[in-house]
Amino acid sequence: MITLEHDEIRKILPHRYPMLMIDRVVEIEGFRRAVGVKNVTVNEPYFLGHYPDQAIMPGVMIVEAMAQLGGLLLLRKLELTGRLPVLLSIDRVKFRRAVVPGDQLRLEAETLRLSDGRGRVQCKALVQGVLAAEARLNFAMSEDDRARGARGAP
Amino acid sequence: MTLAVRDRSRLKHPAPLVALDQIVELTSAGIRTVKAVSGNEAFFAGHFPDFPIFPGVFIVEAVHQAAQAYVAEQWPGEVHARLTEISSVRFLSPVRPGEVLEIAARCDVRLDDGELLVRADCACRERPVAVVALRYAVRPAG
Repeated sequence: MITLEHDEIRKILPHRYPMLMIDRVVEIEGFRRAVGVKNVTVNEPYFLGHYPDQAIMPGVMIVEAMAQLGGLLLLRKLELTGRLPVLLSIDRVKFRRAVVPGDQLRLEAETLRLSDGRGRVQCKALVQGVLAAEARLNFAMSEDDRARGARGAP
Repeated sequence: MTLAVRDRSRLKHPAPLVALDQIVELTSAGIRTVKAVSGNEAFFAGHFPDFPIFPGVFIVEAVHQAAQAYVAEQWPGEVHARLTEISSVRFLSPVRPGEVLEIAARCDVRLDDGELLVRADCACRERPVAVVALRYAVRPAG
């Protein structure tokens, strides 16, 4: 089973602090499925404002984490092609429970479809086996120069 | 009507995740807001080091904050809206530092069903950058 530590993830994804939302990848099966971990700590800047009196992980940051894992998964298929996954659309995001500091997010990404120009990934975020959020993400396999400088963008 | 958002206590999102600088227009049908995107924002350090792009999920956040402002202005202190679904988001064009993100959100309130449906066209000047559909559960505050 292939796993990736944080320094290896940083070689694959262009995201950096404070926007890198994957700490470890604990499972990868080809380009079909990946499982990642994001430890949620109160020491992250978005908790300053979200909210001052009650720390809740912003839903869009959970979506960002799912998108980064999905992009990382598709990059395994693309690494020899020179193309890069760009997030094209987000569908059917459901927020099931709040995620708070101290939680460890388990992120699961499964490739639903991977054709020449498009990739579709179903993602889940779980805390201790309980579903916190789910989303369906579509990526375009871009050869655009703008995307070349920013893998996984926007 | 332009409302500079000076009284931030009425908004739920203090820095660093503010995605609403001004309310440009507010009617019962919806809200228009702007977010000025600056290279001097913390997240650009990591998104991306050599190539700043306003994170797509923050466009979603901007629509969410516009919807929250709509609810707060329409029913001050009376209604609580909880985001239950990001129904769909289409990203059309990247947003860069120096651009002004304009959110035009149509808000369809169905109080009987306890639902608020928000559909927003997001643009920089005339260039569409995203289309976002959100769903909220609404209930009396308290």
